[in-house]
Amino acid sequence: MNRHRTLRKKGEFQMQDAALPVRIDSLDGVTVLVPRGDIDMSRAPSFREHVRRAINAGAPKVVIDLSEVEYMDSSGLATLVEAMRNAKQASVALMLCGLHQKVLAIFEIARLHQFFKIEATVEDAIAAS
Amino acid sequence: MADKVSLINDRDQINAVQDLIVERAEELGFPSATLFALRLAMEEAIVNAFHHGHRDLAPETPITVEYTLSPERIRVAVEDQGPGFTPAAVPDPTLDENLENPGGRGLVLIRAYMSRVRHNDRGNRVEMELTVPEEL
Repeated sequence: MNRHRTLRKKGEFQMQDAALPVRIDSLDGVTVLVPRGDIDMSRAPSFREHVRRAINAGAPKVVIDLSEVEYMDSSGLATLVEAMRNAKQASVALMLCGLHQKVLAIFEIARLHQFFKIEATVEDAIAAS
Repeated sequence: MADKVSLINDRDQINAVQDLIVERAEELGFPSATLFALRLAMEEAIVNAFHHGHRDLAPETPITVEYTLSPERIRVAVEDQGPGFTPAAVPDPTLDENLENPGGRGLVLIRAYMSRVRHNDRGNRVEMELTVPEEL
């Protein structure tokens, strides 16, 4: 099994599977994806598949709540950029929320905070137009 | 003297080496922000080495990772066996016209998070250094 360890808040490490756990909620007709854990090269394919299904499922808005993601690298950014392109083609509004400071910093370095619609909370993202 | 390991493109091997280096940095007292930066930069450099450097080589071709750690400084070098590349020729992913391209952000992240980044002339080796910021 493909396993790896991730940085924890307390400086500890925890083994994780390559499949990324993603909770899927539906709030006010909006699909909310809540991935849990690191999004790196080994887990990006799993994440990509969850997002692709959500965008193709027909909801007018999809929110990706990243509040449980404390590490992401360029493979995660690539997955989200691809998702945004797919969402535009499908006329689905894609929004991000709950970004930890370290993850938000990656978006800012890549200037992607200007490309995505990013809100602080799920409620804000659902309410945003 | 630097420690040196060979790695094939196997996720377990890659993670084991990254974890070893991050754990050593943690033992030396580097803060979580530095550990985050270190892991991110190593991941990007190793992925670049296999995906770009070794694109036309046999899948089992190894790369090498060299590392030295001290309380003041972390150095990690990643070298592949490919033909090399010219860093200046890589499109800038932060330009408006490139923002919608999914890939190409690894180098930008490495440069942002490392104190120093150097490529050899051939372009098949990247040397990265993290230093403790001087207190004001």
